[in-house]
Amino acid sequence: MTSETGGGAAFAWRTSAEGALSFRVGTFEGPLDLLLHLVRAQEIDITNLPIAELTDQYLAYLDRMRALDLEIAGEYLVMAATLVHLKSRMLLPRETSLEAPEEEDPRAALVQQLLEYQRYKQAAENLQALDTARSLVWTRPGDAALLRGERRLVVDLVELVAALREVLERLGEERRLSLRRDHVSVERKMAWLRRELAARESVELAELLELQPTRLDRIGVFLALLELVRLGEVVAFQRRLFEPIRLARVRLGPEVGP
Amino acid sequence: MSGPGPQPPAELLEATLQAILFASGEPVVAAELAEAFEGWSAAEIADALERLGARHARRAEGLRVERVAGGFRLATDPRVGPWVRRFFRHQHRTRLSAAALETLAIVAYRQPITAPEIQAIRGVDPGAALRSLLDKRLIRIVGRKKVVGTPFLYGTTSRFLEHFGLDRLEDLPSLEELDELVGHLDALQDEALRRAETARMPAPEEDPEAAEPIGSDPR
Repeated sequence: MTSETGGGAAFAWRTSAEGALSFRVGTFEGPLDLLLHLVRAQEIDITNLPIAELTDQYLAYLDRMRALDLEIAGEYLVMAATLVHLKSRMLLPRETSLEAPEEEDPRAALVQQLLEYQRYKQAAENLQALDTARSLVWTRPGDAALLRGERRLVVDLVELVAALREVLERLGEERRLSLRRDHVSVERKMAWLRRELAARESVELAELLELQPTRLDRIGVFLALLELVRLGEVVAFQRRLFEPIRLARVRLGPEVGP
Repeated sequence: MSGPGPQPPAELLEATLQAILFASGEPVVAAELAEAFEGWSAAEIADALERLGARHARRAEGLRVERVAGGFRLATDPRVGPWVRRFFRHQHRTRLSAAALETLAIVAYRQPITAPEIQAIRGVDPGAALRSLLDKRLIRIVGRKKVVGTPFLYGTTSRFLEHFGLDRLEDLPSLEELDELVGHLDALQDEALRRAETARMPAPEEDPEAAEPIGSDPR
């Protein structure tokens, strides 16, 4: 799977060498992938699936996987059940007649699913080809400090929360016995954040949080930050992947208030 | 930042831009360059970058200017890639698993999309693949779908474009083009099978090329 070229891994149907149904182990990306393999290996018209035949082959495949002591994921069994069910429906005389147009083909949903899967499998193979082509191209890692407008990787909420958690854990709860009742106002924290950010091009999030005296204040600043991001006043970003999260005012926002 | 600085003169514009691309490493947007050099418009800068790229291509200088993720970037010329790779052979490039690629393809074409929607297409739980793609910053959470359970919606990142050398998402082949490609490949495969059949009938004439999968040329 992690071959040098990668191109071969995605193309599963190198079938013709030993006959139509060469056995492939453990490389299927799920039941649809296996079905598609069976369909392609036998030149079956995908829109006119011979369900009985296909079901037998599919089950035979699962048997062989079982015989090889491979773990068979639940999805494969669900598909097996679906196929057996379809097969029985196809056997019923009323529904086998494809001449009756008002009767929906019981295979239609499966065919649709296979066609759609086939399409995205092709898209994946296309990405793989692009990736392989890109393996002949190098770029410089870049000296991020030189970057003018520092707008780099924009950080999402999950990463922000992870950063907050890290700071909270690092600093702990050092003022547990404070008698003063805390009145942390998110609005005031927003004003404070605006001031801090106005002074500099960008500020590290952890640095701002560490300036706060208590855990509650830090959380207040964090909520204020979320609000400012939501309002489009502030952007959270990284200069490079895995570097500290930084905050900056949005420079070009038209409706940004001071 | 500090007002309109001196502009690079016309004869040094391309050289200046090349220097910036070199130093930046990452894609640089023409509009941002124009912002720095107010005497030059974004269009003039884009033109100069195109000229720079054309010169690189003509002279085979080992570099090229590529348009990627909406910006310009200096990269090595793929024509010398095989030998560059030989030099860097000990550096591993992270490869994506087939599961990750399938999931990524679905996200790329159907974004914003939720995990259950991806599962409906792939027939397999995409959780692990999504996590690995998030880790690699090829996709990100773009919001939540307003349905029961409010699942996360996933979309691709600019890093995705950079990784695959794409300028915009529209540079990917359309779904219709993909369908055509499937048909095309099926026809090729049919022929390969036929050849293998006929080859087997009279004498075992070994032709490994015939059975090889179609090459991975993107176009």
